[in-house]
Amino acid sequence: MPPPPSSPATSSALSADVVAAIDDLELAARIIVEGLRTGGHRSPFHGYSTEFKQHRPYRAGDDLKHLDWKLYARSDRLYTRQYLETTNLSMMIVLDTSASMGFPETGMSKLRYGAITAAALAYLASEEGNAVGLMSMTGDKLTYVPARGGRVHLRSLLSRIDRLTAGGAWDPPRAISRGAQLLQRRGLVVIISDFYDAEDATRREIRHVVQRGHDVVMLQLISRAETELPFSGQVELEDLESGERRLVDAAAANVRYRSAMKDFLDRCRTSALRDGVDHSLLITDTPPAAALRDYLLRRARRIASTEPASIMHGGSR
Amino acid sequence: MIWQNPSAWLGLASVAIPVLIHLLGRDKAPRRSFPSLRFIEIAELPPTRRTRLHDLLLLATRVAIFAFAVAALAQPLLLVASRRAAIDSRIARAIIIDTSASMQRQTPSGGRAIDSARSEAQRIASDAQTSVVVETAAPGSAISGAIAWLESQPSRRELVIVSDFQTGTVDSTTIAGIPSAIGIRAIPISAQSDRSLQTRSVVRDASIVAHVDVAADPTVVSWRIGSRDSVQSQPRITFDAKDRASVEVLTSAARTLGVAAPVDTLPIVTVVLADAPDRRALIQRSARVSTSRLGAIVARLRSDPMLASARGYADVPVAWGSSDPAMRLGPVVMDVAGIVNAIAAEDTVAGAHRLLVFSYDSAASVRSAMLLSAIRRALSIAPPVGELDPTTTPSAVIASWRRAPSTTPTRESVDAVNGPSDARWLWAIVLLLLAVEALLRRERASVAATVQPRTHDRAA
Repeated sequence: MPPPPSSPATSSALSADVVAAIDDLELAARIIVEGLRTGGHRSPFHGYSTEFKQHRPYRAGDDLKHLDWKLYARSDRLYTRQYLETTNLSMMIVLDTSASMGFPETGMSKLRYGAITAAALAYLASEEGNAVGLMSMTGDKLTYVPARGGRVHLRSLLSRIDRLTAGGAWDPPRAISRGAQLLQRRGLVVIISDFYDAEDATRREIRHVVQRGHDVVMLQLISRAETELPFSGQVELEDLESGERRLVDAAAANVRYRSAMKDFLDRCRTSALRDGVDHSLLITDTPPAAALRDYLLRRARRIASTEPASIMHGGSR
Repeated sequence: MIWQNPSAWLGLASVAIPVLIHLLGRDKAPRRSFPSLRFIEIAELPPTRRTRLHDLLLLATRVAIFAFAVAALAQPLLLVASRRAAIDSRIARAIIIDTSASMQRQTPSGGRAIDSARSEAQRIASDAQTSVVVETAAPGSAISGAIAWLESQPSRRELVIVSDFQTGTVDSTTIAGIPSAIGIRAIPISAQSDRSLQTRSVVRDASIVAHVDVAADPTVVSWRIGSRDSVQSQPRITFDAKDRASVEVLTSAARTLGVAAPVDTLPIVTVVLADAPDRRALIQRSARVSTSRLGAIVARLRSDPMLASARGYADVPVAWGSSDPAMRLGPVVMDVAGIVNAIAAEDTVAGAHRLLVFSYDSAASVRSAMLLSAIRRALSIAPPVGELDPTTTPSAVIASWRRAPSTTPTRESVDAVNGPSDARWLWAIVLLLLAVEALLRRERASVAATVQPRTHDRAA
């Protein structure tokens, strides 16, 4: 498990406690985004543009409408047209609202941390003219907000995020699949979850979404108490989702628990890396702004290293 | 170490209290919500949590508190050298002095054995803080009383027997019955006879009655009848003249019945037969036997087995009635049927006491001969058969009886020393353990308090 981010920006960021104390989610998101802007870096979110930049060989999964048919006719080879960067990106935030996200029950829960992170991302993307949507589950029902742009939509979205409560189980493959389908075109799917549920099925669905051309981001939320078992003596643990209770000698279970948790997080990270998914582990005692800044910087660096930052594949509009 | 209140050890069962509280009174495991139990293995469950002892240091401290408190209540007394010396110096002695006839013999130093025994007893008694001296002719029967007295004494106890230890005085069985905590000291008094007593003649009225031969220790005494004159010193017989022939037969019969033993003729015994002419006058002037020496003769007559077995030989009916003046004297010889055969009385003639035996039998009766023979036996100066037993208990056996008083101090002996117990040190340990227990408890509480909010602090 990587250590929590500790950049200079972290120390200047508002602490998790302070951010949690801000009831207005929009205000919290704005504070965080304003803090990000002071860094002067570019937005890591890339969309479509109408200004042609270059061709590149067709790869499986590319939208056929971006194929340059004229060039195909001349050269008998498939090329995809690439355009200069625009801010017209569709982002779908898939937020886990299962009962496990309600942990810890006092202080800032994972759901609250995820809500603030989602609000900040939505704010940031919306400010840059992108469309932002939300996918979550209430019980067995999927509740979503389609990806749109504009300040009015953003406020509606933030209001919906603010009303989310943790409870019950959730079906991550279904939510992820549906969220990706709601994007009219290839876009960015940001999954904010602890990824405890249906680990293999979730991984397969993420892979499918990637194969459909979406850019997928996994923001894995873990509280500090989950990385270690901070109990002493004998304690009866109750599963927040299933309600199952188990009597545990914390001292005896601690070593195996830490090892199992480390293996789980390593699996998440390696599978994400293998599938071309951007994965970031966020510990909830890290200030949200610092964690988000750290993640965005890493994402920007990764994008810059794999392809020109100003170039995005896609079709004409 | 002595425990002055050993019954307090029953409270040792109280050490089970902290163990039971530890096992049964533990707090229920707190319930904590957790996002997922998928990484908590079922094998981590402790299935025997109620039978497992945890925090053994705290438990041991609490058990020790109870144990030391009980020990303090038991009032321990450490037997340091000075305290043990004070306890050992206190001893109670019961001293039994044998006063049987054999102790009248002379010791080699010249004095009587009984005198030597008394002086020895006085010396031993002076060494003891408490002592009692019992003089008895039967030391064996006095031992039980001496033991009872000793057991009432708080100090160390010792039984001392001063005797010549003739066979039968005290035996090993009696010694074995003495409690082991009581020490035994048997002090034999040598009563070897003087060599000058090897042969001694018993002389009475200028006539040699008997020759006494004392050989050596063990004493062997043999008697030989001296002159015939001694035989003449038999009791006088008062009878009617017409019974002369019968009296001669009577005396012959009496000699036949009697044993050849010397008689002590010093006390005058007169047998008054039923038909004696002066019988009534003698009855009128006689009185009850009050002289000790005459009383001893009467006692021997009463215990004479021949007279007691003479049932059915009463050939002279006795007319009992309130008018009979002999009734005030009291019967002295009765047969087994309760019929009075003779009455003893004391008479004084010229300042000398004599014993009058009023017989209710005729002169020619066998019972009169028996009475006469019994009187001769009663007058015998020969010592009892038991006193003639020459054997004594071997010195090795007497030495084996000896044992020292128990050195294990009893609660009573410690109480007698009247020193404070050492419980105060144990109470100090209890206080120390209480402080340790409080520290341990506080430490456990602080650990629990730091672990519990840790979850919230980091999650917040």
